[in-house]
Amino acid sequence: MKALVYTQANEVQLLDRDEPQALDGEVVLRIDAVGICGSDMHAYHGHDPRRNPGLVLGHEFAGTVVQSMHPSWQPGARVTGNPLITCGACEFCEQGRDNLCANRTMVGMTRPGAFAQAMSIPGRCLIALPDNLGAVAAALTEPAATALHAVHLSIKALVRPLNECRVLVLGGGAIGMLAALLLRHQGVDQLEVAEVNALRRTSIEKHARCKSLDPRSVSAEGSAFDYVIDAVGSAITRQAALAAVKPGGVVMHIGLQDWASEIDMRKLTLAEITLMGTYTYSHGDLRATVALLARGAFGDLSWVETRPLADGAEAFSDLHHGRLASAKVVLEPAH
Amino acid sequence: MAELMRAVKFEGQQRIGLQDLPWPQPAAGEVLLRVQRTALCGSDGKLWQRGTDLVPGHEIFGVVDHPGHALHGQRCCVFIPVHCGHCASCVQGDTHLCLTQSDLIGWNRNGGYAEALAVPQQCLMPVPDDIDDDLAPLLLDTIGTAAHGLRTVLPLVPPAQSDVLILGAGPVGMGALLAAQSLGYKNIWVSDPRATRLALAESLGARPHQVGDLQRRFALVVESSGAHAARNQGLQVIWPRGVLLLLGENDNPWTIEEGKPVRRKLFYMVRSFYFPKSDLPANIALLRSRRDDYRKLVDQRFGLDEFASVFPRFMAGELVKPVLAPAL
Repeated sequence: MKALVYTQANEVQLLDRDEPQALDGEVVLRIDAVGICGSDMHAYHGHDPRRNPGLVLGHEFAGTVVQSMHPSWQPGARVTGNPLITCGACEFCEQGRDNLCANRTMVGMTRPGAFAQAMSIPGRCLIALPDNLGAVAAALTEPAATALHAVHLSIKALVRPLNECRVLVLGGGAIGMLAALLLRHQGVDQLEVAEVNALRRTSIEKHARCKSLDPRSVSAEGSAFDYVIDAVGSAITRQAALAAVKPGGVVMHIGLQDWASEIDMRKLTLAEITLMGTYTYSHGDLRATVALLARGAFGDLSWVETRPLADGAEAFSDLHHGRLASAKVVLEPAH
Repeated sequence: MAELMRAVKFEGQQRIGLQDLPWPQPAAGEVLLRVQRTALCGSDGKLWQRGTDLVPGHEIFGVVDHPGHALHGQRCCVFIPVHCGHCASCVQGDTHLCLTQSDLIGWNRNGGYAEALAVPQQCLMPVPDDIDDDLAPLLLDTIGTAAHGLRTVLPLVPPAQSDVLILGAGPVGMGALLAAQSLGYKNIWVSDPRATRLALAESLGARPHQVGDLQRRFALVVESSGAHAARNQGLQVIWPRGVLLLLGENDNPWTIEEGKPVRRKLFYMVRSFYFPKSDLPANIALLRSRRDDYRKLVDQRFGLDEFASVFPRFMAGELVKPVLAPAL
């Protein structure tokens, strides 16, 4: 089969790989659609010590079961799934917070991912797709669930209901875009998105129907937002988030750009800011997201760009150079 | 292995007998558990009245007797809600609120007033060796149910500033008293018409509260009797933004009279049932931290032959938490 292999920093190549075989409890999926994630880009740049050359990346997948060694799945089933492979037994799994599983592994990281014509995965990771949810939209389940999980965590800390909050999203990549779409769907009408890429700003204004700003030329209003989502996670956006949040407000940190950095802990203390981190999604979040996508809660997704898997290397390069308006490129191995 | 085992039979109208039943045959995914202790529970009063063809008893502790199984020989409590592990409730950790399966062991399938039973393996909860047999069943209704309800409402009624009233000093009420103390609540009143129960609660650190007294008001009222009068009292005495936590059960319809104390107030009325499996480590920690106090609740250990004489005394309120030991 063909697979897009991460070969060295700033390089992926379409290579021949052996067809995967399902072990006990696993299935083999024909990959119908697979999104390129920001974390795939980190790996591509050589910045992720967990993802090394020789690996097939890709974990935002939708596919069709072609071989099953799991009793619940039959060939022909259309699915997406949880790329996190969790143990089901640790305290986090028992509490339904399986994204924090102490023993988790992941497709596209610890085992071959979905930038390929086929991939094996444990059957218990899978979620069936409704008939009306196409493969490209279904491939957005994973990033959309990340946004959903972040918003649900935040709601518990917000003093006012979400729709009454003035909200700032930093970053108009896929997570920022999907978070903005979800917030609009949940009734937020005071929403601004900061994004440096002018093409993406236009796309966000059109699809999320909200204001956007270029943070290089204009800062968001200081101490004015009840809720700030940092969907970039760099030193500079952390500082911007703290500057923009209103006393008593919430900063939700999603991105993984910079590791440690200084933030304004004095403001955090004196203004009683809640700073939260969020990581991925629970299995329950993924299921809820499939249902939301099928209901059109994230809009028509016409901003998503699709390309054949064979053009994957070019897609990585275009993303690297910021040449795309779309916050999400989905590869289709069958095209 | 004997062909038959002995089990309690609730024949109806408060008649209790013993019966010989075929030795349990675990189905696929189930294991055989030899019962070491099953605690008596007031909720079994219903079955005592109306009779049942099933073996009652749902606060079960035993040893897995299933050669080849990973838990063979393991001391385990039985988590009575049979659950699928896959539905929306189960995947978010609410294994006690399964959306696809509703059987309760000891209610809808054979329970623990017997020498042994078959248990779905996902319902086994291993018990550490330092928890002795008599105390192990307390991890279920007494600690588990009470502590889970309290953990759920705690963010609404911060312990440092919240006065607590517990209505009913039965096993769940006593469990609520001890758990509330461990969770940081300092000022806890307990109300119960039985003087001996009230004295026991006082010995555990509670202040006595006169039955029906409406003068003092509380941020948190834990209703653990199921009595309508107690529920109504709770509605009256709850502070604004307080919590009325309903742990007691009652089969008769409860009518709420919407007078001023109910209408002119924002308050939370929370029903909590049982607990999720993931609470077990915290419940074990509770038991360890107050082991000697919990031991005061277990006031008799008895064998199957004594069941018919002990159960009515328990239902009459003479005993707090007697435990059946079928091997005695």
